[in-house]
Amino acid sequence: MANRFQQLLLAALFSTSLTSISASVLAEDGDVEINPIIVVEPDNKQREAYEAQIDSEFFEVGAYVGILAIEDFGSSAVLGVKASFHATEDFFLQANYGQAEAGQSTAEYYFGDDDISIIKDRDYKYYNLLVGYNLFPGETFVTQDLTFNSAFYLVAGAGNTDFADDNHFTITVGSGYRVILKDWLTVNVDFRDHSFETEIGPKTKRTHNLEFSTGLTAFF
Amino acid sequence: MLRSLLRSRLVCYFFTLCCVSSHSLALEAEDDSSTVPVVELIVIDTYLEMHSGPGRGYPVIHTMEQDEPITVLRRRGSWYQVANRHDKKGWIQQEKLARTIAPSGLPAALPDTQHGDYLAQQGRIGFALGQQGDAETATLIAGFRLFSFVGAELEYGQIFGTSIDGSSYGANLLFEPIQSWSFTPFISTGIGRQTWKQKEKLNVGNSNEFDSQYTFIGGGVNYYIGYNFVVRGEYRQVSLTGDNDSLRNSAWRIGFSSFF
Repeated sequence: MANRFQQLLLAALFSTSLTSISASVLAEDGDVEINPIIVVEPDNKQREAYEAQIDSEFFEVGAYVGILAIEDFGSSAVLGVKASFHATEDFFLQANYGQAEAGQSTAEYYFGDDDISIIKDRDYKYYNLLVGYNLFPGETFVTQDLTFNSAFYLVAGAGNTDFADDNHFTITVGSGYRVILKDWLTVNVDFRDHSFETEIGPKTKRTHNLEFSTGLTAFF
Repeated sequence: MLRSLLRSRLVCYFFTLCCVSSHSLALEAEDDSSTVPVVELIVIDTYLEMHSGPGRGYPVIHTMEQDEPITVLRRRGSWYQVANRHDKKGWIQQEKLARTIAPSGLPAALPDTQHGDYLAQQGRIGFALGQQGDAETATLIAGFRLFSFVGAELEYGQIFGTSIDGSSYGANLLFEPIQSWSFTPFISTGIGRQTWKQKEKLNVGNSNEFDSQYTFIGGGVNYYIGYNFVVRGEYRQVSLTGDNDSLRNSAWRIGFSSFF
């Protein structure tokens, strides 16, 4: 809106300066003619043209790999994809989907053999929807001549964890560090806690599953 | 859509012609090689500062003078990456870049998405997290604005119960009569369908899956942050109708969405 006002103001400024010039020229003849002020409206066609020409980059899409500590079931490699929508310079929305395979629990390791296991379904699949905040935008100085833009950000949200034949409403909180290698390419390091309630017999227990991952994303 | 695209293409073409006629032949050859013409603007303030990144805190790395031509490279939120004639690149805020003119002498008509303009923005995407009865919900939402005060939305979500899981899809209407505040109240209503499935470990009977239709009325508050980011708090009274019974549930959710 401010933009539009500025444009109107500029337009008015131009037209008034034009009229004052023409008035001063004519004043020499002793005949003053006042031209009507022409207000130049911001050109909507031009606006559309600019919109088509300027490369707007709001989406960031990529993949990550890391370690996921599945509570009671050891640590596993995790693979995932992520997509972010950068709404403002501060806030972004992010969706993640990841997969891992749970290892053996200590109890299974000691007392079990291949026939006895606590859980049947060892696939750990999750998605989450997060809101992110760029807490500390800044620059990373690698050497004196090599500098990258970067940001330390916080994320929070929720989603689903499909594990041990059950869906679990999962709360995810975490922090991350994004280094912008090129105008379109970034490298991320993320640390996240995926927390959900799981049923063990008649009791429920809240587990915390910590994930440490790194990945590449591209802006487009 | 096609018409506006065609029109913008035509304007692009006209714009290129203007650019080319005002520049040397060497530039003409360069313009011919690229399919999309570049946006070139001229600084009219005494100076214009380039920042090292698109956001608060990034330091000023270069200053451009009055009458200096700049090329707009890309946009990220309300920041624009520009280059001067020596190919020095930096980021400029939209408000500052608006203080430039096109080579034709007209004010720069930049595409903008600002709080006051959100009503003109058609699409929005986002998600919501909350509770329906005792069960938690996670929902994806996509919507568009039908009129200035009515929005239409489609949603798909998952419901997490203790002994039962569900998925849900529906269509909502959102009435937002007041539009000038950062906090704006709204009334919502909608219909949809929820599919429920009993958890496998508790599954003893045969009918472990069932459908129910729902309608709801609700209300809440939208909080507009920055140019195009909305946080929404909503309360709903949901009426579920199954094959042979009906149920009333209260639901609340907090949502985050962005329009474009």
